[in-house]
Amino acid sequence: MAALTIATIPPPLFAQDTAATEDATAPVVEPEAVAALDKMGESLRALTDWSVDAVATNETVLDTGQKLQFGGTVRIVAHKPDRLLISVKSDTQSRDFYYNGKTVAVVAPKLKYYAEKPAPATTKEVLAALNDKFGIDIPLADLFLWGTDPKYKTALISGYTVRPATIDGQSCMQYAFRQDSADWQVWLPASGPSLPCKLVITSTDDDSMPQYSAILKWKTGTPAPAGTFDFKPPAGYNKIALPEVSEGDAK
Amino acid sequence: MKIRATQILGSVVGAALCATLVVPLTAADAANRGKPQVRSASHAQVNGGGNRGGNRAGNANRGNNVNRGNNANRGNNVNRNNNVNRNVNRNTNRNTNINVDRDVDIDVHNDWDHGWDDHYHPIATAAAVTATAVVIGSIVNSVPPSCTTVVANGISYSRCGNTWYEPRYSGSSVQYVVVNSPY
Repeated sequence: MAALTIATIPPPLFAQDTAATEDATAPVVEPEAVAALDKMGESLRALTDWSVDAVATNETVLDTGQKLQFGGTVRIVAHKPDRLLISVKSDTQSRDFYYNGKTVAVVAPKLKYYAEKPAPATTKEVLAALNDKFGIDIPLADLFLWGTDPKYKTALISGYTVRPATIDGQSCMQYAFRQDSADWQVWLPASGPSLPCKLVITSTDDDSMPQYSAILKWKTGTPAPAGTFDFKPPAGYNKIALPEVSEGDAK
Repeated sequence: MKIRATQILGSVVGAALCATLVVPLTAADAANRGKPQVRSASHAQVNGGGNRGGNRAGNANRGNNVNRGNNANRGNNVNRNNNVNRNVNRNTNRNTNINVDRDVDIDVHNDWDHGWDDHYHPIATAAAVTATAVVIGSIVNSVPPSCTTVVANGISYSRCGNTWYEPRYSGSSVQYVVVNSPY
């Protein structure tokens, strides 16, 4: 009997590990949640002239693990494929990003500083450059990415429909997703173009898991007035450098 | 005791509020004293890709957090002694006006504004800068509001007494690098 017990112990231990990844608690990406993302991607990519006004909160983690929340607004004005204005106003930082198809300007209106760089040919490339080369986390940049590349779907580790919700009086469906270093939720309207009502991003690369939340109001089909995407430094503004983020810094 | 998420007072915070400061402080000291530094922030996009955290490059003093992110060390009381080091700096700062330690002043201004900008300056944060010399190449995340902007040879400087800073972006944050006088 004793011999039998010893002989059988290793296999169950091994089998348990395998079973754990295949049981009911294993992460699942529901096809209907992915279909909802596809529909959102199609709706976003169908837009030519659009703007979003978002009310957002962001969180800062202190080295004690404590989180502080700050509030603000984000305004995005876009013309596909090569015009963009993003205006972020928050308690902690206000920044305007102008892209007119040729140059991109990063403006700090409260500090009265700005930087200018020659820009790539499309909004999508500009956002990638700001993020990758210059270390700038552009809020809601995903609105320009979803529906452009299948990699945003294959990145999903888990995804499912949560439940209907009311966001600012609008009927929306809540979806929850997980991918590397971010758990995120998106609320999509029950009818009409599938433009997100709300987005919540929980950063899982810090133990305190700081969260970004934005409620979005959309306006589509109206071209922005001429000059919207050109930055002309007002009197008293000074130009400063925008260095590329070095290897060490990017850590 | 389990704390209900809907109720804060009466549990932890109430006790914290009872703590009093024993040492008389200047306004600047009081503003910075005991306030922890920023270690990270929420990301505002899901699919940003390659450079998550590039933004956080702004934290010039990051390196002092030896045990950060190392779960093995977290909760290990021995390593907590790092905190003592930080307090030492701050105590030193109080003597900064007499030039005890030249570059300590940097920490004063980093402390609370650390990691975000468009700085909020509680009353007298400016106090010490004019009395101190700082090391060329040092980086601070804010300068006192009393500093003046000077443009020389097409470059913007922030001049604070005899100290010259060159503001520049680091990610979306603005940092100030101590430079030689352009004159």
